[in-house]
Amino acid sequence: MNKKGEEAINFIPFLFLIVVVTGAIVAGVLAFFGSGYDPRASEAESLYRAVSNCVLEQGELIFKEGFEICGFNEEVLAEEHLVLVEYLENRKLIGVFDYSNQCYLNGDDLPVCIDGEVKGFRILVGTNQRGERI
Amino acid sequence: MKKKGQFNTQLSKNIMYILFFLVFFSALFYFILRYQNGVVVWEEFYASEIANLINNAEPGSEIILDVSLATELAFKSGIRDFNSIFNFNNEQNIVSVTLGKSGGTSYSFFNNVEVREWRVEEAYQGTEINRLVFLIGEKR
Repeated sequence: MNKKGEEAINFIPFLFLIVVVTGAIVAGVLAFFGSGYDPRASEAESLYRAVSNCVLEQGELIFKEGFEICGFNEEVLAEEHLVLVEYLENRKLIGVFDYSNQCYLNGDDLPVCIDGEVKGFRILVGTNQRGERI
Repeated sequence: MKKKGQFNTQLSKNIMYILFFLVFFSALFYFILRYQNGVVVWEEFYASEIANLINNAEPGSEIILDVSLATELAFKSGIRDFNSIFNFNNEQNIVSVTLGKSGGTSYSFFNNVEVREWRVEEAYQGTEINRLVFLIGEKR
């Protein structure tokens, strides 16, 4: 007698086989071509330079006006980025706050960050943007 | 001897397996095709480097890039209109690069500027160099 449950059980080895073969081919392709181009370090450098210039030009005004006076698009920085500026008791940030912890951990999937100081302002920037498939 | 009903059940089951197999492997085939000639990697490269140039640019700048390799890859993929390779979305600050017939890679730029008058100039001054030219302007 052929029950529905029996058919479902027969389907599992078929599915397993397909997943294993697909996984092996995908792994082979990725191993041959690499995991892609990683632009995060150069973007982090650009972002750090832009924030430094803004701190030098605007100073403490950043804490009142926000990063828009730096000419940044806040919607872009809100995702996959972090910009943190601290001076004495003042602090301004935009982006993923957890990057401020992830920046100090090691791992390929973690953001690339630059932590520095300009005229007494602490600047921490990070990015984890790798490009999106469309 | 199998009855007609049993035969139909077996047939529909086999068809279901074959369809499932085809769907899975067409997706896999598409994935491999995208990686052919390193198209995916080059899309990522061009999208991110153009975004990086925009991030460092001042309004009023004109940017000229040699994109001969990108146009060569796009031509191999069947793209004949090179102006469709690069696209800029000024509302969302996104640059996208498509070197295959479908898909592509997009990358955001944080500099709040606008990209204007972008075009690919083919065979610059009679050479084999193709150039991407665009202007950076203040956001409207």
